[in-house]
Amino acid sequence: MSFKNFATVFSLIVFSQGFSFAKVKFEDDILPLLEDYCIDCHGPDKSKSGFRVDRRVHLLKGGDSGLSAVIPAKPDKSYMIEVINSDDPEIGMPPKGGKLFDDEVELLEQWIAEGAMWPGQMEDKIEEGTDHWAFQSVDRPTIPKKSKNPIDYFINRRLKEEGIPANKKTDPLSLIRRAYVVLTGLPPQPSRVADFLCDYTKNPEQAYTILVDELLASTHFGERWAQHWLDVIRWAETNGSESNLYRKLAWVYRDYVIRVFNQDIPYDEFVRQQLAGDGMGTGEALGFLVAGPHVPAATVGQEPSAIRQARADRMDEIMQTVGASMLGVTMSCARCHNHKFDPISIQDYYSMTAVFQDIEFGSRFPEFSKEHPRKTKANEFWQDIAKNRNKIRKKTTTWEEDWGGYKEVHWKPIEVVGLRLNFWSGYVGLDEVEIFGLPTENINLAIASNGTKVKTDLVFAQQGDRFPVTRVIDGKYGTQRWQASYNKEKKQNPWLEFTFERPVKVGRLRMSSNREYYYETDYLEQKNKFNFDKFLVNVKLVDGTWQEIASIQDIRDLMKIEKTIGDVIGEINHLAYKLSEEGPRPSFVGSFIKPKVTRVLHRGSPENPRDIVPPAAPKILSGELGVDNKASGRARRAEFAEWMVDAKNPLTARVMANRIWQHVFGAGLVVTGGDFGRAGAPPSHPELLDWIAAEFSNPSRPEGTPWSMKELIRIFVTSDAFTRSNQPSDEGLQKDATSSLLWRFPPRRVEAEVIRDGILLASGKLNRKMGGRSYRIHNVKKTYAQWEVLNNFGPETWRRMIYQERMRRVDDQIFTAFDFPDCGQVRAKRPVSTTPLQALNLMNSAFVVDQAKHLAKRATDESNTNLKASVIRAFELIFSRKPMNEELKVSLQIAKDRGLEIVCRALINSNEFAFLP
Amino acid sequence: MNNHEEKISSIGRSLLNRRGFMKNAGFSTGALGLAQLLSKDGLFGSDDPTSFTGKSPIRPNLDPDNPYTTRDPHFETEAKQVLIIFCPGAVSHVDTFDYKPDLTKYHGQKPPGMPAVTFEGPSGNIAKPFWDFKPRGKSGKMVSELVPNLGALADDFCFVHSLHTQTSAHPQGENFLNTGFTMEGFPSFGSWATYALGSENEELPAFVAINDPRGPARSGKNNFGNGFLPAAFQGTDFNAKNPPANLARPASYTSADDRSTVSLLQRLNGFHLEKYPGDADLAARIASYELAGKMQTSYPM
Repeated sequence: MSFKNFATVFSLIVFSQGFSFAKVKFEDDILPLLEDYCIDCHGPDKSKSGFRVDRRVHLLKGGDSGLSAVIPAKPDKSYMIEVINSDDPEIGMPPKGGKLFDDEVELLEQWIAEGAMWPGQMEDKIEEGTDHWAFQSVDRPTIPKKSKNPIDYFINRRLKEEGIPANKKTDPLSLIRRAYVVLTGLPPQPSRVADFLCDYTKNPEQAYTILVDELLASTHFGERWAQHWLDVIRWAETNGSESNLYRKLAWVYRDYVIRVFNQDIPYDEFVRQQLAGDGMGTGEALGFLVAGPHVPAATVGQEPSAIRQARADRMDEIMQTVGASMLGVTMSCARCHNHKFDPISIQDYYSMTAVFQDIEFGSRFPEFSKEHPRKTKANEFWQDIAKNRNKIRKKTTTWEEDWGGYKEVHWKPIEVVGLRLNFWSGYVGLDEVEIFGLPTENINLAIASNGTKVKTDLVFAQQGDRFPVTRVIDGKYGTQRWQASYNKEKKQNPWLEFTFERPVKVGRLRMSSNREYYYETDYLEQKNKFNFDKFLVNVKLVDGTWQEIASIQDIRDLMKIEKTIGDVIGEINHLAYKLSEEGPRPSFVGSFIKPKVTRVLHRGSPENPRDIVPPAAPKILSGELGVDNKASGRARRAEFAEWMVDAKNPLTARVMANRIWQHVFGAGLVVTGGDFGRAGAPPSHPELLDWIAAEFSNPSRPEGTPWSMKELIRIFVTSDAFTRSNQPSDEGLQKDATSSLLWRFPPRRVEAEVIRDGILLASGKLNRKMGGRSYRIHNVKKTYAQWEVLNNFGPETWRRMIYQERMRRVDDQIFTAFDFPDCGQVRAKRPVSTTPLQALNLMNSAFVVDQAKHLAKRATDESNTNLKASVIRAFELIFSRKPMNEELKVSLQIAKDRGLEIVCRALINSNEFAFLP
Repeated sequence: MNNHEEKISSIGRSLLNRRGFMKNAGFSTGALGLAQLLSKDGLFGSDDPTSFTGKSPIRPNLDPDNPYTTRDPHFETEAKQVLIIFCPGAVSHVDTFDYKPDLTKYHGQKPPGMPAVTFEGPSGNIAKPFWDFKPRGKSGKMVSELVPNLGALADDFCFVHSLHTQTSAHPQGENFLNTGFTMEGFPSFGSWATYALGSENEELPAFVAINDPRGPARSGKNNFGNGFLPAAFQGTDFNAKNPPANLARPASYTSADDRSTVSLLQRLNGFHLEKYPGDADLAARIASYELAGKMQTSYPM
């Protein structure tokens, strides 16, 4: 992989052949056609669809479609000929008036076949490149040696130029609240405030440095900053779409992101892990790629074109995620045609999809390193399972286990050439049957790709060939299954017969009705339904005779007599459950498929595949990866990750440094943090942006760690710009109303999470348990029903809000109103709105009513039930300060009249609590 | 730097470019509504991509602190309100207003070119409408006898029979009809309208979504969601069975409790505002509580 200078000029190859045989004369035969039919819309005045016919190079390049209008010597490959011949009103040209006459089309074809001769322009080349600032390499500006914090140098210089006086340092109380909320998302506790105020009077600088160190080391730091990253990639725990199914164990990705921020994993490593963590022992990091919404197969239906379209939509979600979060480029715009604003072609878009062709929205066992805690836990469970199975073997050779997603039947291994299942139930629905050999072996002998055949009698079929029997050995779990029912004429229940390619030893089988629902989703009413019950297992021995090997009826009869077997099996079933909770179990962090050869989809339509493209990043950013369509998916992604974090990629460091800036100061230096292209906003301080990008990826500080996010945050929060007072000034407001030049610290309403977590912290009810399964506020629902909020205020919800189930477009009926994202689209920045619904939710919701009570009780308990002291304590718990005299007077009166709870309710609703000081 | 630019995602911003919008959105209520709102010359972004940032883009003059303030419409209007009745799974179009004579012609036959079994099960035969169609009104619009009285008004309706989507799935079809896109995360019709125009009514939500009491449509909140627009522009979801969440005073409080809370809150916010004279964000939040109070008294309970 090589990076060129980004101002490099790319050249189109100019074909030049067939001079001597030219029969078509350009000026006489071709130019009049172009002038009559094309140039009004595709000329220098209007260049519709980005296409012009007034120069040969424009014809060679083509328009927004990304297809060359003219490919010399190849009329059949030239898009111009295609659109001229097309009857499709969307595509056919010219759009109005008559079509070209046949002889005119022939002339054009012949002209192209002869090399598209255009006298005087045969040597012309088109210059491609971009002068857009974001695509130029990062240029670290020099700074005066003595500047204490370089970012202040840039900020103050600009303020001086604009003639805006900077505010003085803020008061220590505001400072500690600001630092706490920005860094950890929680306000400080009164005792910590008291200590800080005391230390601050002795040595302000030291007190603040210690505070910042402490906050960066706090585990709450990761919880706060992970939230920002999850917003950007619209991560959620449901699919979206009609059924909006829960994504089982998707939260392992959320925990991973929290860990990354807490352990300060360098950003380049964070990028590599999220793109190719399956090869790095951090498989759950790939949850990044499937963060967006998707439509599940059952909703897509069976129409082949719908299935192709849905796959293309899912690829587009991946493009959006990668483009907006890491690259700061709106890749999706190039899905149907060349990007309108940025130098991203439709070929670039599909080349980048080729990088991710092995990714599918689904579950898999995440690749963990040997030391991963889930791995070690799992080994313990497996040992216990083996012990219990040995206990059973002392009593019987056949038994049945329930693994939640499937039933597993064991018998004494035996060599066979066939196996038959006779069901006792009148109706059978199976998505997969798997057959295994010895207890130590995990190769599925039943799968069709191993040469196994399966048959049944068609009289059991439901609805013709709608549910073919081959589905039980196709290796796919889910709704695509075999369904069969009792046949009245034959008076027979359904059966299945497997024929192996060669004699094999078989010892157990697994059978499920919809294992996908068990692996991939949760909280559904009918999730664990098995559409089969009792059955017989018969095997065909090598000599051709049949023998019964297991009977579910006999197994259950035996359990009635030998009660201990039941107990041991119960133990195994329980261990299976524990394994799925605590071991490495299939988690919704993406699954792998065999990558298909990627083609450009003309006009974005999967029904119109065109040229093959190799896996690559955008050409303008020197995106050659040195891998082709034969490379493994992981190799493609790993190369792409290296390209992403390469020192010469100008976007990666800029985009992330800007994002971190945004979360510290409220707005980015580039306010459109997910779009650094021409449709985005230019940086307010271009030099500062380059300095922070350079310092982030390649620190000049001797002790600096490249790509350390914590260190960059430390530089930001220890600046004068961050510690300034947020008081308005007439001059400041007049010249810079949004405070984007940072003459004051811009005040802002805090996010939904900060309000909720802050209330719980003040009331003393915050449960600080980190990670794991999200707390639930919703019901268990039917597949196609909507989620309903059942309980959004009870004690089981008293954790930090990052652990609240993040449901796509489901309103939690309190905090969603505070601009909590609906997780449908990538979100570089949450909007901040102020609405009466927010007021109603914070005044009247059960959560606030309940917490106001707890807060009042805590304030009372911590003040020896002296009402005045209780009011003071309530102020301290909510505002980190004591009330002023006036405040105390009115509050105490209301506490006397209506109770302390009412005072607490008002405090929770106050502006001071909702705004960052 | 435009203050609103940062409030809208890049997808939203590129939507405000006419070509991109019409092309992406196709013809659906969401798209049509916005297209009309913005139809006055020059209100759309320019067709020429190079001038995207050059010309003044059309964005409603939105004050994030008072998001519902009335904004002038972009052309003279007669309509004061927009009412959309969206009936997913309603009475069949071919039995009411969508006259398809071929259904009668091929009655009882297998649909040509269709597979015998689809994912819905074995294909049935084509059935003619259960009611006869007759020309109605001056226009001679063919209307079925199922709706004789509505048929009499045929000349007063505007029928669009050409609407179709590229998806065969219900929820994506709903998304498309109400947001213009089959995918998740785009603003609904009412959300766009409220975003563009604000509301003259300060006492009730600007945009309400009255769901079928038996349950919401299949794509749920997408049908009345704000997508990437600020949460202020989402539909407020209620019906006779389920009043807006948190509108009513909590049962454990008396009206005197409420009055005391509000008066203390006003005092606290007043003290706080003294430290930040002229801060619009703080003032707006105070105003939002006053609006909330008006909403409580305006809603019939």
